[in-house]
Amino acid sequence: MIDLTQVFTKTLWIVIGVVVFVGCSNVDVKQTSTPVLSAMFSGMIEGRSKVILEPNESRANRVAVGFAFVGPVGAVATAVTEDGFSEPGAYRYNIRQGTGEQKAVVSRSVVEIGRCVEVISPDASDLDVLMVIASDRCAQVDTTARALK
Amino acid sequence: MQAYFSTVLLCVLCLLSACANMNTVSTAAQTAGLSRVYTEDNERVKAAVVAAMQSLNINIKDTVDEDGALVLTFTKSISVLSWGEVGRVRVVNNGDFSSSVFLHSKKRLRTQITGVEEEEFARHLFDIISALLTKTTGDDND
Repeated sequence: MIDLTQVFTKTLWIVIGVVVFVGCSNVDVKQTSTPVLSAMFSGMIEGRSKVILEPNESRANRVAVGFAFVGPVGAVATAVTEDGFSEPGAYRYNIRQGTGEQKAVVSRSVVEIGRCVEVISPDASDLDVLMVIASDRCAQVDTTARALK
Repeated sequence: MQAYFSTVLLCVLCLLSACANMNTVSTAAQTAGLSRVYTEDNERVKAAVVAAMQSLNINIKDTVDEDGALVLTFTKSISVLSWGEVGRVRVVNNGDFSSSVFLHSKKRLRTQITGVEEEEFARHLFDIISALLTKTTGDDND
């Protein structure tokens, strides 16, 4: 005869062990990459639209951890947490380089259309950083490109 | 027995009612939290802040422009020792080649002892920004 209480207790300890193992690695704030501010190219922003990125936390994950440690009350408390964290936002920019070539980049930087920017890739991720630079730097490149054509 | 469970439930709900959320930090005073001044071009500081935030193990929720100030809101995930944290970073142009970076954060459960304190977030962020600006300009901006 299988002792269900023993099975339940063992399963619970395994679940707690896994959660502790996974969760402990995420308690402190730490640097996951070493960014650098080196420009890839510059250009004029011609379009901007909002995009939603992949979240690094989900409501299901929060509820699971809440339930594992505080039971049903913890599950309810984590379930009612605002949903905002699960929809991290960024912007997709259409940038026209001096050569006339259009490039699309996704960035968390906030820059208005018509501004001249330097596109920086600070780390290995697909998210770039935009830095506004003097508009004459884009104009100079643009003039050179037209002259070459 | 029923009275015992009711009391426990009431205590837990009282604790949870003191929870901080994104609204708590996003509606806080503009100068709330800890700050550091960088004597550097505002656009360069804004770029350094975005790059520094991306390099931390946090979830950047949103970035907006509020009257010329760059505002980033973020969360830190739940873990076995913390219900997570919520925070906001504001980059304000002081003019004259100077920018202030304000970091304000709260633990989701305010009564919780573990988790990341505002000072810890600020120390990490400000140090990375300083390092980034130093690398690119050769200046220390503390």
